[in-house]
Amino acid sequence: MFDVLPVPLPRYVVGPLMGLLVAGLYAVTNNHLGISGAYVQFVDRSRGCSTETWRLWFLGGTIAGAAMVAFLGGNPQAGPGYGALGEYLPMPALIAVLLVRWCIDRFWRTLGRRLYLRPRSHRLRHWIAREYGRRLHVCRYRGCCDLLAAPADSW
Amino acid sequence: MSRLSLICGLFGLGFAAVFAAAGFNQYDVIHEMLLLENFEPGLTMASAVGTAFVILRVLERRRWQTPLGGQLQLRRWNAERKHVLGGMVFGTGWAITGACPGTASTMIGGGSVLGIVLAVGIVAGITLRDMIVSTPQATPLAVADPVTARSS
Repeated sequence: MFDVLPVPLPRYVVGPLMGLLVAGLYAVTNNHLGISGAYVQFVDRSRGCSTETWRLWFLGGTIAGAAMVAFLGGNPQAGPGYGALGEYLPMPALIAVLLVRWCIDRFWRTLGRRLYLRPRSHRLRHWIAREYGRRLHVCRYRGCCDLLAAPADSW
Repeated sequence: MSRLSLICGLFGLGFAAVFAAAGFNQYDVIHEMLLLENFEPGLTMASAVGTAFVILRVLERRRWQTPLGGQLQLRRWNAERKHVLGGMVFGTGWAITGACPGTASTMIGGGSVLGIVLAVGIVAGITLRDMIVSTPQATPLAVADPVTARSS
């Protein structure tokens, strides 16, 4: 590690630089900068159905860029630490929280979007309504049976 | 390796370098911002949005021809209920873990072991979704931009 880069950089330098990079990628490639899509492509690639390879390169670039900064300026979070949250939670609980948080987030965000796609949305709503009705019917039926089967003194 | 991939890789490198140099891949920095104890990260993000907004508006008005993707076309979406709900889910998780997908990859690059856990969680969430909801049939949104439809 070299301490040649003053980390953290002044925020008035960082903000405009980030804006320039976002606009720059758009201006050169007509694509918007986003890491979520890169993770989707990563999953697709593992199944052999990747369509946008450039997103994987972008993801690789982010890892390399952060490694470069850590090498030149140091990273206080290197290793198993997780800042103040790591002090509050034991390691197994911390790992569980981080995993579950992202599972729920990614699942919801992508599924939530799908629910608004009309054909699937109709099918899904239809299925939920049918299932709900069926289960309600079963519950009522079972409730009646329980009631009738119960001893008279418990009424 | 195509020219597009190489350029995108370089942009990713630059973006993550700036991101990490600002300390945005650290839990404490994000947490202080969300607790309104430190306004600097928020102002930084606002200045990034402002800079990109002005540049892109100017380029769009001038009908900018991108070297690798034809005429510049900014994608726009109307604000809908799903955005609010998704934002609430994301915000809840953000408040707990102080991390977004960008943070996860920059944490890995910075040598944080728990960054790998974040990335595994993201991949698991996407895989879980794919297991439950299969790829949709041709719909206008899916045809227009399948990757954007599934992410962001």
